[in-house]
Amino acid sequence: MEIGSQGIDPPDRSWLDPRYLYRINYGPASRDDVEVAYAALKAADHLPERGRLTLLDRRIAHEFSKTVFPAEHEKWAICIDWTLENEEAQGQVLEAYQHLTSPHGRRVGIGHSKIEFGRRLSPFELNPFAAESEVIRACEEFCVNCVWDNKYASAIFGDNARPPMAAVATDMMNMVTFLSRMPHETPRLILECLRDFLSSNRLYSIAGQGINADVACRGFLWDMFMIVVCCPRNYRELEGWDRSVRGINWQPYAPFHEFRDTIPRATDYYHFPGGEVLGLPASSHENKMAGYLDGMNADYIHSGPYRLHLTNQLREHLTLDDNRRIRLYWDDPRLSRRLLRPAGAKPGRSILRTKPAIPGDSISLYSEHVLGR
Amino acid sequence: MDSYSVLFSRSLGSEAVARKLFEQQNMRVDFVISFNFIKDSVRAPTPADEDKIRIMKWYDPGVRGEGPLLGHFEYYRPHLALLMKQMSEWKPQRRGDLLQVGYNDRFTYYSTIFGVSIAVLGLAGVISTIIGTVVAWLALNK
Repeated sequence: MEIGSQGIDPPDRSWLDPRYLYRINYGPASRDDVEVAYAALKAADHLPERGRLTLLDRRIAHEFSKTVFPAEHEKWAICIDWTLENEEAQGQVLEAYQHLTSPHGRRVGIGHSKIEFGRRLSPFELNPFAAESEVIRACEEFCVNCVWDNKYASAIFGDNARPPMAAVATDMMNMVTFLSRMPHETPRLILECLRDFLSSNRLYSIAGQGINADVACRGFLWDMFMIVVCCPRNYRELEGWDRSVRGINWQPYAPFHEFRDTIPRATDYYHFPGGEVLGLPASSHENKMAGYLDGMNADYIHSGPYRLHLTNQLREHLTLDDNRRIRLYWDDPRLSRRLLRPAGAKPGRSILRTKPAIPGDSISLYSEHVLGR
Repeated sequence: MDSYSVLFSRSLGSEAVARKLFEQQNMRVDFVISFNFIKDSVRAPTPADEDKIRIMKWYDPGVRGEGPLLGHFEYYRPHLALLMKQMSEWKPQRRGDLLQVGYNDRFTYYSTIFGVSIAVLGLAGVISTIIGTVVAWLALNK
């Protein structure tokens, strides 16, 4: 029997090779392997493509997802557990987009939702119906764009050796487990929590002994922390960089970077547990403040000097600015769900929905998060 | 978010404000009785959903059964209390603010406006009387 190509151009999937995936996950891998992953991520900026690109060992990805979202039995982040509900959701997508057919009868891509028409998702892709899959994507992109860059945390990793992806993911899992078991009655500084984690756990990604714990906690571990609490930032904003970020003009940032060790960082004043990292105010559960909110009505507010205004910063929610505007948080996906992106790439978006369905959609994720307390 | 329900869902005027606010973001607003979170979490969005934001109505006897109180808000209770205080204590700070109605004691504002209107009308009457008298006097002396 002979199988012909039928004129179909195969996609460029140089990363889709079991030996290659084994090397980047467990080592040893070369600089060329890193470049393959970097190029694959850059090419997969188009979201359906990104959903199909899974560099992290699927077993670890599955475990990682379960560790961070233990209650999400029915929609884990990776489609290895493809369920009837996912099947039904896929069916609904197809039905909803039946009318999106080109004049030649050829089915066109699903406009905004970015899932190709008629293609059944394979059980090895990131689950497009679960926002929780972003933690896996962020972990992969953190490794490729940052950890494997020579200019990232070289005081921790050294100038040449870099940890494999599975080691970084396993350390993230251990960090989540450690933080979830911490007593949460008294919030502590995140720096102290990370120091405890570093001293009481053997990290797979940091091989050498005698590293500067504060440098590790304020840089690499803090960046990992932000990923496991599902608050990934643009990768150029990460704290672990030595002096430069691949692909961007570093010059404007240089003066700040030179003195950054003398400036208090988020780890030095944010607490865990607490919502400061997300921009949430402290819980007022014990606060006995009482009153009726009769005047908090948009119509009434607009009849006076104040106006309502949307903001993308959660910490500004329900606050008044200098221009007499009451700010309301609205999850602009361009900011709330951005991923660690290569320089020049478009900001990240949810695989399916590019805009939130309900206000606060992006923080509803934390109701199932193991640290969301 | 409950703050959206409180702000936008309790009057038709507030719903109109929400629609106008989100129109700038190319979003449509839909006011719903309650969210079906479980169903929505697995349901695939349709093209119509893509540009729609849903706000839950506050007055839903099955869900809440009472008006909005500060106690309903665990995290934003101090924010809301401070906003209400800022609203009730607002005072004109610039010349342009003199005609701006505040949030507190609107009766006094409207009474003042009414009084000023009457005074202006009275003043206009006095001025027109003076002018009329002067014109009549000039005509008499011709």
